[in-house]
Amino acid sequence: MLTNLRAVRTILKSNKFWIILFATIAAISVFLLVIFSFNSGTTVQIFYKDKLIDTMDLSENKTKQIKLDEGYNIIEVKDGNVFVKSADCKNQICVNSGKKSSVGSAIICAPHRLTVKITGESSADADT
Amino acid sequence: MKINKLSLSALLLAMSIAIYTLESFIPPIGGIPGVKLGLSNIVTLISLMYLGKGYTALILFLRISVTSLINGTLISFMFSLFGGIFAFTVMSLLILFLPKKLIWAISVSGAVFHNIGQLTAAAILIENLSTLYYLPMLMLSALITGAFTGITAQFIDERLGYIIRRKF
Repeated sequence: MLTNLRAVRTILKSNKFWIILFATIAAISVFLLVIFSFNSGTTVQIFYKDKLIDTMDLSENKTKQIKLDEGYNIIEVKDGNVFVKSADCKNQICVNSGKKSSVGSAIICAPHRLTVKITGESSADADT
Repeated sequence: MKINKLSLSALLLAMSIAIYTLESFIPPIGGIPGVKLGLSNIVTLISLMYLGKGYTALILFLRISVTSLINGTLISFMFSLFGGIFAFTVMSLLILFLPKKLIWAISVSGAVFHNIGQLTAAAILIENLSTLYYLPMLMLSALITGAFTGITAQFIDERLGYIIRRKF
């Protein structure tokens, strides 16, 4: 037990162990990013907290204003991309997040507890 | 030697507030929230090395409080606090048994957990797990910026460490 602990300690104290660990994390992150960017989505889901409050189709250009108790966000779909055009939140992170089009990507407005999320399932399936 | 420690911690606190405020003028890279240099982590590392856990926790908490009062909201305070607690816990544990040449690894681990803490805060706040989408990007940025701040702290220790150590 004690020798095991000592072995673990010597491994932890080597530069190599940490370089390999961090390189692995980097590789997994890059892999996930590449996978994300290849899947373009079809539907935009708009959540307030964990509730789905609205959906939009990524294939049609449209602008929607979402009004919440915390404030408003204007969400626009244009040429297969979704972005927050304007919002009255203080930090404007959602506006600065830019355009999103791939599955799983999300725009988050933390002050309004709003999430704009892209999924692969189409909204037409849900209707019919 | 308590006065010396007190004055060094005051100096470090002032420095970290100045660095953090200056850094907040730089817009996040690529518009991704949370992707930033985290230069004030250098100060946290230095104070962990020379002043120990207690002083560092105090410096970190005061830095977060003061900078949130200067330029921030209750939400940004919560984000910083979560990130700070996560990073501090990991770094203060690792510094117990890692040598000085691995300061960079401690820094990277701290940066990684800082970003995990911020994502946790975001997930709690908006009550939605889609924040996890940002995880790979935040991990990459933490690896790069953490290595940068860690190597900087290591250089500071090599060049100035003997002066600071003589006094304390």
